[in-house]
Amino acid sequence: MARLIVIVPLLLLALAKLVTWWFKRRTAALEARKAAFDQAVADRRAEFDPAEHGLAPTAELAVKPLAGPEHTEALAAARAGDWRPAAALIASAGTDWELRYLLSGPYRELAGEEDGWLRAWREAEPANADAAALHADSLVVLAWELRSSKAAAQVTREQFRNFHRVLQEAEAVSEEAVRLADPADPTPWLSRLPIGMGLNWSNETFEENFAEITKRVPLHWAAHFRALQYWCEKWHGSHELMHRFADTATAAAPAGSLLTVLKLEAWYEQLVRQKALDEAWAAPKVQAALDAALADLAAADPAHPKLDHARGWLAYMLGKAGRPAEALEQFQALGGVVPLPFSNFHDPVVAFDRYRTLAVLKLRIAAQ
Amino acid sequence: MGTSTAGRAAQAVALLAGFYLLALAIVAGMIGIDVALASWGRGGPLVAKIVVLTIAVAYPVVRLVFLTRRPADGGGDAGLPVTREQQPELWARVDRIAEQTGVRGPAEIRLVPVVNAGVREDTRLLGLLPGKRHLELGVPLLLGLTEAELDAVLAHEFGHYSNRDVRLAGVTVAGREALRHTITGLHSRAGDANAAERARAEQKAAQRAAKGRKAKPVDTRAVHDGTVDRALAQVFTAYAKLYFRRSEAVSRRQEYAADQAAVQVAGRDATAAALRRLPVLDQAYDFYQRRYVTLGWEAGLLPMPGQVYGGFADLLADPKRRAELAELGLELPEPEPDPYDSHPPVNQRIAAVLALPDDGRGPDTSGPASALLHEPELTLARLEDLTLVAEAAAKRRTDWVELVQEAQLARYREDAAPVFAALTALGLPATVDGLLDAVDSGRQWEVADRLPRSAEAAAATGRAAREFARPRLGGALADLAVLALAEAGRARWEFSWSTAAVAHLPEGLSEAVSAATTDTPDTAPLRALLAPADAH
Repeated sequence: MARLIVIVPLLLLALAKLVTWWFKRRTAALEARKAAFDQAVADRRAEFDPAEHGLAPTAELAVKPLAGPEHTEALAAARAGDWRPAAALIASAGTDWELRYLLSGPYRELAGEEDGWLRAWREAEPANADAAALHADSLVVLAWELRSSKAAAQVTREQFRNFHRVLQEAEAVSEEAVRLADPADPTPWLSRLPIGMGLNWSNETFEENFAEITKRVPLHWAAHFRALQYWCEKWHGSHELMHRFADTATAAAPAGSLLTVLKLEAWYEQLVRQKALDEAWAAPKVQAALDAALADLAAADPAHPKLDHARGWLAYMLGKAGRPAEALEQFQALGGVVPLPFSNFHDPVVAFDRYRTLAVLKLRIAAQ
Repeated sequence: MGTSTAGRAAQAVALLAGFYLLALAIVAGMIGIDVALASWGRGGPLVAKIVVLTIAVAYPVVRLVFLTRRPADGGGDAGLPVTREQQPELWARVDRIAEQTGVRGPAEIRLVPVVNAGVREDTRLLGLLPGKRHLELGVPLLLGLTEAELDAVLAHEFGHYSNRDVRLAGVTVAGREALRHTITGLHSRAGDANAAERARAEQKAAQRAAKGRKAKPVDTRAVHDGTVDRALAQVFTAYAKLYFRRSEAVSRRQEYAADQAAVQVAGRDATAAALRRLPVLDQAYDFYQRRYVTLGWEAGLLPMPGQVYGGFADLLADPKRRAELAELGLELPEPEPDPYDSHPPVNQRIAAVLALPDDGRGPDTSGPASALLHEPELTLARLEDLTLVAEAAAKRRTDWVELVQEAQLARYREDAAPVFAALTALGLPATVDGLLDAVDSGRQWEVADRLPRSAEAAAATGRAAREFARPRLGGALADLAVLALAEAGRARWEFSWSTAAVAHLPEGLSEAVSAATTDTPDTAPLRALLAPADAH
């Protein structure tokens, strides 16, 4: 017994020494490898010239602003409290409801941050449907600002309480917006998609609300992309429901609608969620979705407002799927525009630059 | 009993001695290593490290096993000793039960404010020579059991003496407590006290708070990475397993035997009822302390003398609480398995009791055991004097109705402290009217910015910052409004034994607060609500 009492601590000591020694060695080896890798990457970077590959210079890369030059004046006016130019600009779309929604985008974002001008507009024209819809949308933007886009587990109770409170307010305003709007206008129904997502609507309620949009504008682009989020596993659907939604939407869409991009986003949501390995991104089903999206793009009107959006998703997914040549084509076509999914990354420009460099490197390796 | 008393005594003593020997051997081994190194006569970093490690091993052992004074579990002199003259009926009952159980009765009865009863004997020579017996009787039992159930509890405790198993209890309990203390001490040093132990500690903290002691936060902080402590805990746990394998069967058998003694004296059904009732009373008493007794502690208030412990009887008498407790008793929670508990699970004990043939005594018709207590109010008040912490003397004693009222007001005043400070800092009157004026003059967000806020709220800008501030402002406004209304006697809280305090506030208060915190605020509804009643 007494001997054991001396041996046990000695063994413990030896074991502790061994473990620290092993960890130190491992850490040193890892650090050396990381340093070598960083050096190699830096070397390659230095010798990489975007222009050589038909790509825009790194310095010119920028996230595409939501508002085009046509909005500059109206936005400045709104910031200064004058809502009239914005109202006129949105109304200029007439009954092209999708365009109307597109044009009001910059004002949705602005009102989410500062809404003095919008309150003035609502007070001056209480029956204006555009203002009411913007009001609801701005509350949705605000709600997500309060919640933050972090995973639910990292959102504090205070953030959730405010999120739900403001979304409930948004729901009430969106009901008012529906009452005020032209019966043919789907716009007020669109703000109800994220409201339903945040307030945990049942699948049936959400579907009914979505049907209100598609019966007015069957291929409403923004509505489909907003709805896809609801059907994600992380919100209120599943991989299966999400793919079913994307498949149904694309099946009904004519070539050139660019709704096939829904399927790319669906795969992205699934594979990221599954922390999938590289091979999974190159699976036949993903390749088929990419082929369909490429065909859709080829058939699309060159003036399609969502062309960059489609190219961004194609560039990213083609690269991941082991098709660097086609990815490079999309990067070339995009020039300096950094669209989704890169614009959602922590540093959009760095991410975009890295993925296009990667495409070039992969091509070079394939050629060797 | 298979083993003789002497044999069991020897075993208990050997096991306890073994524990100290093990600890001593570890320390001696560590010193031995250091001495060997010293005589080796070579320095260097490796030697220094070994010395540090030996100290790291020896230190917690010395600290926990030899240097810490372990509080005697349930022992001590806390409580109110009552003489035969003071409590003749209680003494008579205790003597009768002792006699019926066939054991020598206690020389002292001491009332204690815990849900427990126990008989202790001042034995000598590790329990081999008899001594004076003390009965510690928990007041909550007197208030919560029927006479027949109390008989069962007393008979159970005396039953241990008729089986002569308690004489050794001193040694067995000492050994058990020493091991428990050492192992849990090592684990909590290692920062991974298991959930059961943490719960125990939290419960203790709650009890301390309830008794008016400052609740110590449960310390599960890791002092260092805890490897050494955890390894040592393993060694002692291995010994504990050996210890309990030897003593468990015996102690459980003793519990069943004591239950048999209770059945013979108090009857089968009363014994089962008492066993079922004890855990329920335990929970109820804990609840009573947390929700009622300490309600006004922070506000400097305690219930009237005698009510600190005596109010428990009123809680138990409330029909709604009665129904809730009855439900609790039907579905006894599966107890957290405690490897150091000498009692078999209460469910099994109840089943064993109910498996006995019906003794034909019929249903329990005895009244509440509190009838045994002479001058209950006075007795409980004296118990308070002896058991409450010193700070309790500084508390104002008040009836329950005022207690709940004052406690709620104090809570509101505390919650409103930041807004008072914010208004003062801005040069505004620190009243609800001051805040309403600030709202009307558009300065409400300045006030809100001075209220405590989360990191997320502080980081927000623009409209989001305002939205984070809105509930803060609303809360401050509501606090001030309620305080003003309470001062005018128009807001009050109703005391009830059945539920938590029910707030009686003017209708439409929250709507009026909401109206005053919108982007286009309207303070008129809240002002109207606050206006003196005769102005309506």
